[in-house]
Amino acid sequence: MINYILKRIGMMIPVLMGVSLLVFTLLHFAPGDPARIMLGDDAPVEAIEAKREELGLKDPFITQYVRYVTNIVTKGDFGNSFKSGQPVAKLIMERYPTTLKMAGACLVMMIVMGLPIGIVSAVKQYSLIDNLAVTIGLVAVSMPNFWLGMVLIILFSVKLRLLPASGFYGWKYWILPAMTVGFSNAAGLLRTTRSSMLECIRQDYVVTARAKGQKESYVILHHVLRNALLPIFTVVGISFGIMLGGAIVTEQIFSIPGIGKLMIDSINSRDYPVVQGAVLLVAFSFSIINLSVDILYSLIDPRIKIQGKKKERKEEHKEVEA
Amino acid sequence: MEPVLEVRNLKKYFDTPGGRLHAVDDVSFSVKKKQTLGIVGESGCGKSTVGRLVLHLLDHTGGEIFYNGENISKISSKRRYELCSQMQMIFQDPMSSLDPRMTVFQTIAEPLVIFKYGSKDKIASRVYEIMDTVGIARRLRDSYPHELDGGRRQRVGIARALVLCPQVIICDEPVSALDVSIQAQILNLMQDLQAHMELTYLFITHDLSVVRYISHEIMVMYLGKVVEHCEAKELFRFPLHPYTKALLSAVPVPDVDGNKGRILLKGEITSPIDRAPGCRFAARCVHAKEKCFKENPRYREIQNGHRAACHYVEEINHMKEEEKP
Repeated sequence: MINYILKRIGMMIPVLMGVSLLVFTLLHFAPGDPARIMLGDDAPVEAIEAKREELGLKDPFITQYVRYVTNIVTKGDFGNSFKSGQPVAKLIMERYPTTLKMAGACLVMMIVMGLPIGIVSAVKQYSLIDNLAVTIGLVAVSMPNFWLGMVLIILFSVKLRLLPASGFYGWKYWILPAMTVGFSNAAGLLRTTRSSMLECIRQDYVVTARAKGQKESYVILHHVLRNALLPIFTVVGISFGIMLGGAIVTEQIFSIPGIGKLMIDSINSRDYPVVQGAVLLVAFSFSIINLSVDILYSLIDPRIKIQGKKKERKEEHKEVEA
Repeated sequence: MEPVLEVRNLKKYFDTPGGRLHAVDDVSFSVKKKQTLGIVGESGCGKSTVGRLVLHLLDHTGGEIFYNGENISKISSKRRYELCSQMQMIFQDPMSSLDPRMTVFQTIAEPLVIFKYGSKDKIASRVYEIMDTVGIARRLRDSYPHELDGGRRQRVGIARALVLCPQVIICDEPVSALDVSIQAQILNLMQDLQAHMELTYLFITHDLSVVRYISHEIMVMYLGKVVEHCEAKELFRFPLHPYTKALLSAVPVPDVDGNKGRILLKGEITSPIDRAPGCRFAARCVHAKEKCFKENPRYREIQNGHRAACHYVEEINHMKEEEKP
């Protein structure tokens, strides 16, 4: 198990290298000059040239990239922000807890709304509840976040004056953004839960469980849901990964000082080091989530054995057979 | 001897978009203690549905079910729960009927936990006892279904069904998914268990050799109706209904020169949706006459204990009698 985790963490290195190269290349070829943006349009050409020299933008592309990676690997230095001059790591770490909290709130919202309704929908297939849930689910999946966010602001902040429209200072501020992100993700989760449950609910072992005299609620939660968990975990994992990357649009609408907003702002001001750092962090979070989901798989389904452990089990089994 | 299980005029209709599907129509039978009733018929004739109706895994549309003289056709969910300890089911495919997330031990122990059998140690000793009875090695207790072979898996299914010492076992094609060599093992095991634990079997299958081997009585079904019912030996010696004759003629005989008298059925099985009156087998029957397409044949006793549903059963068999040298 430990070997497997170490191996998987090792495999993250090429992934992160690839991501950094890709982002670095894209930013390099993107239009816009950071030096010009920093100094303003009226700045003299000499000053801009001098600034470019100072930022190291005049070196060849490969040299810049190698310098960037070497600094990270040897000194853990992600560079300094072009705009504020502060270290990138510090800027990101200031914002990351906010995004973490937001992602947590969105995840809770998504599971609380999506999972129970999905289960009920599958158990009572083709009933009024099911039809209603499927229809609302379809509408929710189709609604863009920026639109839903604004509708919620108009409804709860402007008309009803119940919740604050922007900022991030206390639990009250979390509700609207969490609803915005949670709602569409919950709809996806609902659909996955429903179809995955329906697949399992017709299996013979469910009939067996009923024939044993097991209570219906226990049959549904223990025999059906447990077997239907795999796709559900996948969807939750992917959604959480995306949320950890910062709900970029939502953070912008609600002015939440998270990673997503930081990324947008830095892209606008061509603050390359900050964008690169933020993207690397997002990629890293995603990889970690993926790894956790894979480990969870093997915990919930005995048929999936984690590598390394598999060999032991097989040998053990062979012994038993012999 | 009083029958353990009796079913009278059992009906099950499904409402489908195409109309009303008569899955089980007016089925009556009874089984005595320690006996095996084989139910045979082709796919879709309603034999599995009968099994599920008896266990209340499906709600029946009409008719009555008696267990030890008690009418259990309309029972509370509490009583149904109690009956689960006395009537159990063995399923066709042990791979899909065992929860893939549960070990052998957990699967067999679950009914004991549901019926609050006792302390953990008591449950464990009972599980080991039944594992020994059905022949599962104790070392396999922590294996998952996918790690076992077909025969072992079905033994787990049987152990699970027997762990509460039920009286009636409904076997829904218990050996169809197994290799022939394993089939014999499982059938022998089931016969031993029947003698040893005083079990009554309702044995649903489409395999005539299997049903001949294990049953005391056999009931033949066609499209939701019982067409013939009698003792196993009698059925194989003197089948009365034209469908049974055709069915039995399809059993392979290990003789190069023998068995040339195969009756081939023509046409497709008729739709069980919105049936008009008339014999259901009429469209494929070689003896069918006008009356067969208009009137439902009565299911009646032809001679001591041998029942069949055919208008011309005497005529057909009389004819046969004459043909015999």
